[in-house]
Amino acid sequence: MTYPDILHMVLSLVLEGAPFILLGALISGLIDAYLPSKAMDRLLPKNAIAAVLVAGLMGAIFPVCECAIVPVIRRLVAKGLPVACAMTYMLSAPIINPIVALSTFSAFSVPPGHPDPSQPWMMMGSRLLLGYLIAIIIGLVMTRIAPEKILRPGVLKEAEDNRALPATKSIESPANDGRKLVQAMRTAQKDFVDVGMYFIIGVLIASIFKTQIVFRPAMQESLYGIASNAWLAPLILMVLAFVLALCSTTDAFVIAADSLFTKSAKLAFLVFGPMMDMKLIFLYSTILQRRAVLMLVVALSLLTWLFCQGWQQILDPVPVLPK
Amino acid sequence: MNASDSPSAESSPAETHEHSGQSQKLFFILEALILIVWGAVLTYYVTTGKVSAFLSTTGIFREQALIGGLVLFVLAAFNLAMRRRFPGCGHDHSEAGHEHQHEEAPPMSRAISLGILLVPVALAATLAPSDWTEAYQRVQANSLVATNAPTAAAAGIVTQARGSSTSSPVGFTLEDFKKYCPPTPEGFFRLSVSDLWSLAGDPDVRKILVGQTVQTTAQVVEDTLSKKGSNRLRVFELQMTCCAADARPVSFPIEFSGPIPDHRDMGWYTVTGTVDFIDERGGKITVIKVTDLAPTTKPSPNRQAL
Repeated sequence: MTYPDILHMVLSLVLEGAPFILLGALISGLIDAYLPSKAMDRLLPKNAIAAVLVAGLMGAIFPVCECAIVPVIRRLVAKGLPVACAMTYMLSAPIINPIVALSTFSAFSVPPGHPDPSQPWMMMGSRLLLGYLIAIIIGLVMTRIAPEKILRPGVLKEAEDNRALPATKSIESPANDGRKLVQAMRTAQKDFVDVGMYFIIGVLIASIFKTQIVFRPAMQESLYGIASNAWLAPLILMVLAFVLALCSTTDAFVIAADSLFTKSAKLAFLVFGPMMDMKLIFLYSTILQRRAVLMLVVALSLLTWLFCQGWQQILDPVPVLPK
Repeated sequence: MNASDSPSAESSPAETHEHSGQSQKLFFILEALILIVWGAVLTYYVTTGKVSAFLSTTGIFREQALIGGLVLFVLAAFNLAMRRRFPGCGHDHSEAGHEHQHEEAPPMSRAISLGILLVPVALAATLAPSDWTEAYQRVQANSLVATNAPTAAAAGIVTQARGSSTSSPVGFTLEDFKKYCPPTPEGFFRLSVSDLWSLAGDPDVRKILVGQTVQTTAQVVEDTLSKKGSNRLRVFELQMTCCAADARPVSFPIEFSGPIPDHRDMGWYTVTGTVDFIDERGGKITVIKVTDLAPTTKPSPNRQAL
């Protein structure tokens, strides 16, 4: 083990990720103190399916990256956002947002005269569309599952406490004597600590994997050895996205320049990574039960892989037979 | 370990608040102190310029880290200063209808949480080197990721040079390229390793640059992909997009007309020579036919403090 490399990567991820964890915690604190209970009921359509469809697009208006989204979701659920809508927003927001759309377009841009001038539009559009479709499918399934089977007891209790209050009343005091600000800041600190702990665990594991395992020549040769296999290539890049735990705003630049993997495999990397990676497993564990996180991993893996197999006909029209 | 989950979900609000008591106050202060430590790490690395080894100097990553660090200070200071006001969660528990409970994890779980937040960050902040180890970089330089031929979408100079061109795609000329990358008085194009690597992804740029003299400053590493006894080394760079964790290795061969001169593996050199593009590694790759290899020092990264 080369500890200096692990520490180098840990510090770089902390310097990059901490401001976003903090941003999420601050938004969470403000929601806790200032957003009246059941306000979310008034913002979303009454129909559960329509609400999920709208929640999948909320990232375009409230862009939040994958590190910041978890504390926000936790607080929105406590304030009455239906679990299905919360999960849909949580999964889609790191993809369906203007910053990610622009960075994907930029990373896949091609020079004039290139035989595939539509590539940046196709990759950006495909990423947004697949991210949305997968998020709403998960959300629609969640509408059929009881929240107590998904949420951690603490989060569920907060939501139930809020739900028990009269529609016009919220748990916070109406008095404007600074209580709300104090409450917001205390919640922000608590959420930063809760989420930060899981973030650090994820960062440590991702750093060990990347610097001790993935970088090894034998491992890379194995990974790239199946780059042309249409069935396995998306899976391999999904595993890579899971291990590397990159930010959704920059991951396109990391994968776009690669010349071995197909575009549909790269799409799997770009769709799966922002929804599920090594650090997100631990972040999701702050609001979801372990079983729910495990089911989410399985569902996201299957859906991303299946969609990317279908998308292959559009992005990589030359058929590639499995080896 | 989640502070939201409680083993005592059935206790009354009064019991819960009583239970939290002194230990809750202590943990609240400790949490605020952890925030201060994190804030100190962020602001220290940015204000001393050391952050450039970990975050890209392009974009606003450093500004984000600085603002994040300062806000962490403010948040912790505010909470410490206001800890005696509105004891507990910050809102009025006497209010009618307010019957919610604040559940806290057991002290041991909270202590472990704080340890996880403190120890790895403190260790990384004090012991992390400002670069990857040479062993790690050496393997990266000859990895499949680093040595692959670039696609047309390879980010870098190709797109930017095209963007600065006012001519039609087919009319992209050497003069257009010079507008983006003016040659030195000696007539060299000074380019980074990643820029030179990405040039191979554009057929038009290849046509106009082949045979031109280029110069780059880079680490030089043994080319383990070539046969033993070949006259090749590789120039190598870790191309950072956002942070060191996403750094993508990029390398291409440099060829000598005779035997490889004495050099230090992983040492820094200024490489001068003519550029060519050859079929290898699944496409066109850049190669420099070296006319001069001069040792140099590692270029100082953009270390200016904000």
